[in-house]
Amino acid sequence: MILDQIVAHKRTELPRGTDFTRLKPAARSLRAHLRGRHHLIAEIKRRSPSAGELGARSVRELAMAYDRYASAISVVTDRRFFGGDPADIRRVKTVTMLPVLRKDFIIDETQILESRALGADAVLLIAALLSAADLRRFIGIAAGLGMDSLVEVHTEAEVEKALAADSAIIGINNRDLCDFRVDLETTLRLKALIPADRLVVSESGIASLADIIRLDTHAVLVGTALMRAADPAEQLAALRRPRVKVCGVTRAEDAAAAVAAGADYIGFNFHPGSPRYIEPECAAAIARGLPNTVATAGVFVDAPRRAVRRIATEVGLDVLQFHGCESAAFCRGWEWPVIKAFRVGESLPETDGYRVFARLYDGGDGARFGGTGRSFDHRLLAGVPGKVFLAGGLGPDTVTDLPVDPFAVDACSGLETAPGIKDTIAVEQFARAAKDRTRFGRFGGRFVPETLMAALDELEAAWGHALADPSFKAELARLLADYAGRPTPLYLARNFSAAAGGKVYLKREDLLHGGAHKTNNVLGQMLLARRMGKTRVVAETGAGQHGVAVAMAGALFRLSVEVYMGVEDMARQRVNVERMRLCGATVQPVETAPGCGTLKDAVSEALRDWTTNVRTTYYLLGSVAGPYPYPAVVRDFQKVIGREAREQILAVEGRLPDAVVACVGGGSNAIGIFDAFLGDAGVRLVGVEAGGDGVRHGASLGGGREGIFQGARTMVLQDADGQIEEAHSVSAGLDYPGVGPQHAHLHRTGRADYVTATDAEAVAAFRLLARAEGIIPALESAHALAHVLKMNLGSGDLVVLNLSGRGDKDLATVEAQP
Amino acid sequence: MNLTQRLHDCHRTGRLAFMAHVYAGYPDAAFTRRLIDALAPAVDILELGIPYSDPLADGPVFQAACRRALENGVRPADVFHLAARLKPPGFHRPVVLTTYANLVFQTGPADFAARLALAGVQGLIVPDLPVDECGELHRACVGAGVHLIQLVAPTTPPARLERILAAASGFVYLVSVAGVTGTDQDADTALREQVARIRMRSDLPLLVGFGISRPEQAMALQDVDGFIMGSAIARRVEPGRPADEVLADVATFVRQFRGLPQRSGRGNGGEA
Repeated sequence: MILDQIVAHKRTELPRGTDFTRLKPAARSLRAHLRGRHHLIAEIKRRSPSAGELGARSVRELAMAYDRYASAISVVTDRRFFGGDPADIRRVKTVTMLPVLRKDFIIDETQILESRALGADAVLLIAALLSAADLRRFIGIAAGLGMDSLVEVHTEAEVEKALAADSAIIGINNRDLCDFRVDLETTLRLKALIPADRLVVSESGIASLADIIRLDTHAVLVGTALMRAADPAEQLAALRRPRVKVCGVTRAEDAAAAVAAGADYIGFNFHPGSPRYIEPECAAAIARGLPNTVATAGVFVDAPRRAVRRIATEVGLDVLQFHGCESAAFCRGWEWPVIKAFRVGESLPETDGYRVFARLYDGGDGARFGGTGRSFDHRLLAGVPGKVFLAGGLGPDTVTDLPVDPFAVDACSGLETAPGIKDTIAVEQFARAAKDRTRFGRFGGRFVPETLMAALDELEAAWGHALADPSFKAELARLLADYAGRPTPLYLARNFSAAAGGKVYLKREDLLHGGAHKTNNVLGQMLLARRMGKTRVVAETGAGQHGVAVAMAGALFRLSVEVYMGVEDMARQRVNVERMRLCGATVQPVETAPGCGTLKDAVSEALRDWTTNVRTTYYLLGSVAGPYPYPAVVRDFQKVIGREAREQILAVEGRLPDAVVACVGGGSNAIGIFDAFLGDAGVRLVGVEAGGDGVRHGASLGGGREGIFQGARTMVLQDADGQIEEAHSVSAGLDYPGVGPQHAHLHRTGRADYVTATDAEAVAAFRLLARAEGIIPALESAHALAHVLKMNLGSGDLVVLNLSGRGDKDLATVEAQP
Repeated sequence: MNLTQRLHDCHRTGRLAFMAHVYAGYPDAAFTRRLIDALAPAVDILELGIPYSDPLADGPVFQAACRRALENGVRPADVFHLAARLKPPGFHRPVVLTTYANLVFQTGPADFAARLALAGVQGLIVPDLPVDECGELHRACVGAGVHLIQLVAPTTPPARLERILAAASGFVYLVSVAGVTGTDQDADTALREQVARIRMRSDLPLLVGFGISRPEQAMALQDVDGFIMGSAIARRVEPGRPADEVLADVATFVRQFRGLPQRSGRGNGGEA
C-alpha cells in the first residue's frame, strides 16, 4: 500500500544530527486566520500519486495568485512521492504574509523541528500515522514553537483520537488514503462529531463554491483543482464570495445580528476620538460570546505599540487594523494579521513597502478616520495585487454593484441608525447581498419551486467540477472544433460597412453547426448532463435554433430529447420543427390558448416537466435566463464567442473595437460576445432588443419593470399588478417578456447600452445584408444589423457585430413582410 | 377560526385536516364565493389563490383556471376583497392565500403582508419563493402576524430541510414530485422518508399536497396531519355546466374527504 511505502521512506530521510536548538517561534497563526467560515487554504502540490503531474508553474507565481483570496497556503514538501521541495516554504513566505502549512508525512518529532526551521507556521499531523500519545506530544512540540497543528482524520475512530489529543484544528480528508476514493459525505458525517470550539477543515475533492457551501466548515483545502487550472487566481476567486466585515460594533446585540447574518469579521474601534469607540473590556465581553465562525478585528489609529498589544491580548482579537498614519515599519512584526487602511482620493495612495495581511481602501477625508461614509471610484482598485478590503460608504444597495471583486467588504456607517448603533435589517441585507453568489448585482437569484432547488444545487456543483476538470474542457474544445466548426470567422463586411458608414466586422456564429450560436451552449450542457448521469433531456425553444441544437447533440450523445415549443412558434418555424424531428427529438407543442404559445410558455412547460421528472431529467436551458446557475452556466459556454472575437479583432486591426453590438432576447449571444470585453472600458457594449411594431414589443430592458419571472429577478414586461405580458416580435427568438439577469445588471450599472430596432427595420436590414454580402442573417441578428445602420458611424469607427444565426428559417416570415 | 387551533383540533380528534385549494375568479368571481360555501362543510382550511399569468408550479387544470380568471379581469385587489368577507357569521374556516412571487414583489412584501392581515388571512403560500429568497417577506409576515408557509419537497436534502423548518410557521407543506401517488415507487419511498425526517425535526403540523383525488389516497398517507386538494375540485368546475349542478357535484365530492382518520406512521401496515 502506498501509505506504507511513504512511511517506510520517511524513516530513511529523518533529519538526524541537525541542530534545531535555536529555532524562533512562528509568528503567523493558522488558527487566527481560519476563524470564520468557508476560508480557503490553497495548496502547492507538484504531483500526487492519484492525480499525476500537476503543472510546472513557479512557486512564486502560485503564491502571488493565492495571496488574493486564500487565508493560508499549504505546501506539500515530500520529494519522492509528491515532487515537493521543502525550500518552497521560504519561497512562499517571501511573497505573502499568510501562514504556511507544511504538509508532509510526520512520524517523528524531529520533522516538527525541521518544519519550523524551514519556516512553516503550522504542520499537518495525520492521525492514522500516529498513536494517540504521539499525536498529543507532537501537538505540544509544535505549539512550543508557536506552530498550530492541523490534525488530519478520515474515520470516526481518528476523530476520537484527534479529540483525545486536544486538537484545535481538525482536517477531514475526504479521500480514503487506502483506495484514493473521494467522498465529500465524509466531512458531513465526521464534522457532526466535532465540538463547536474546534476549527474544521475539509480536504480533497472540493472544486466548487457549491461544495464549500454544502460542507459548511471553517475552511477547505484546495489543491489539485488550483494546480490544474488555466488561471489559478480566477479558479480560487470562483470558490468564494467576498467576506463581510461589520465595523464599529459597540453593542452585543449588534454583534449577534451580524453573526446571524453571516458576517465574517466583527470590527471594534479602539480609537478614543471615534464616535464608535468601545472600551476594551466591553469589547472583550462581546468577543467572549462570539462563536469561532467569526473573527474579531480591532481598529486603531496611531496608537502606541504597547497599547495595541495590551488591547489585542485583553480582547482576544484575531486581526489588527491600523487606520491612521502608521508607517510600514510599525505594521511589521506583529503576531496578529495586520490590515492597513489607506484613504483613496482621486488616485490610489502609495502602499508599497507595507508587508501586511491585507490593505483596506476607504473613502473618507483627511481629518477623520473611518466610518465617514465617503466612497471613491472603486475601479481604481482593478488589478491591485494582494488582499483588498473595500470600505467607504458601502451599504446593502451599493455592495451589489461593485466593479471589482475584493477579498472582503467592510461596512460601518452605511448600516447604522446612529453612530455605533447598527440597523439589524441593514446588516442582514448587507451580508446577504455581498455573499449572494446567485445574483448579478440585485438581479438573478433562484425563484423556483422547492422541488427544483436540490437539482439546481446539483447542477451548480457539477458545473463547478466540470470547469475545474481539464478532461471536460478538452472534450468540449474538441467537440467545438471538430463537430461544431470553431473558431468561427470574424469577417469584415465591406459592402455592409459602406452602407453603415464605419468598419463593421461580423462574428460569424451563423456558420456554426446548426446555424446559430446555440450549439456552443448545448454541447457544453450536454456534456454536463452526461457527467451527471441523466438519461433524458428537456429543452424549450422559441425560434427553434436552440431546439435544433439540442436535438442534434441529443443524437450525438444518444440521449432522449424532448423540446417544448409554442404552437405559434411551431407554425412560423416549421423547418426547424422538421430538423428536430429528423434528429430524433420529440417536439411537444405548448398551447396556452387556441393558437397561442411562444417562448415564455415553452420555458414554463419545460420547467414543469423538469419539476415532475427531476431525478432522471436534465433541463437544458438555452439562454442566460432562468434560475441560477443557468445564467452563469450558459454564459460560461457562450463566452468563447467574445474570446475569439477579441483575439481576432486585435490580430487584424491591432486595436479593440469602438462598439460591440448584439441582439438581445434572453441574451445569450450578447453575453457570449460581451463577456470578453466587459473589462475594456473603452469598448461600448450595445444590446438590441425587439422594438416590434412600435406598440407591441419585446424590449424588457427598454420598456419593462423589475420583477420576478421564470426563476430570476430581472426586467420584465408586465402589467400594473405584475401579470406577465405577451411580448411581440417578428423574430420568434426575441419574442420574450424577460431578459437574462446579467443584462438587467449591465443595464442598471450602465456598462452596456440597450436600444431597440423595430420589425420593419430588422426586415430591411435582413434584406440589405443578403443583397450586399450574400449572407442571409437570422431575423434576430438582423435587429443588431438594423441598429448598426442607425449608429451614424464615422469612417474610422470600428464595430464588431455578433451575427448570431443564419436566416433560412425566416424566409417565409420575411416573404410575408411588406 | 384560528388556523393553529383548527389543526390542533384535527390532531386531537384523530382526523386528517383537509385544505381545499381554489383559484379566485374561476370561472368568475360570483361563482367562487358560492364554490367556497359549497366546500366549507367539508374542509378545515381554505387555500385561496390569486390568479397569476405564469403559474410555474401548477398543472394544466390550474393553469387554465388562472387564465380564465385573468380573462375575466380578476385582480389581486378583488381576491383580498373576497378574502376579507370570508369571516363569521358567513364563514367559519381559516383562510390562507396562495400566489406567485412576482405579485408579492410588485406590491412590496411589507404592504402585501399588511393587506393579508387586514383581510384576516392567516397564512401565505408562495410556491416559487424558496427559503433562500424569502427573507424580506418572512420578516414582513412575522411583523403582520401571518404565517409564511414553507414548502418541502421529497428532493429537499437534510441540510436544506433544517433551514426550511427553522423558518417554518403555521404548518409544513410537503409537496410531491410525481403528480400522482401510487404510480411512482421511488417517489413514495422518498416521501415517506421525508415525512419521518420532518417529524424528527419539527412539531409543526404536516400537510401533504399530492394531486389527491380519492379518499383512499389521503388515508394511505402515514403520520401526517392533513392533505391538500385542489385540481380535483377545479376539474369539476367545467365552464358551461349549470352552476347549481356543479356546486352540488362539488359538495358531494368533497364530503367524502371530511374527517378522514389519521394514520400513525408507527402502527400496522407501515411497510405494506
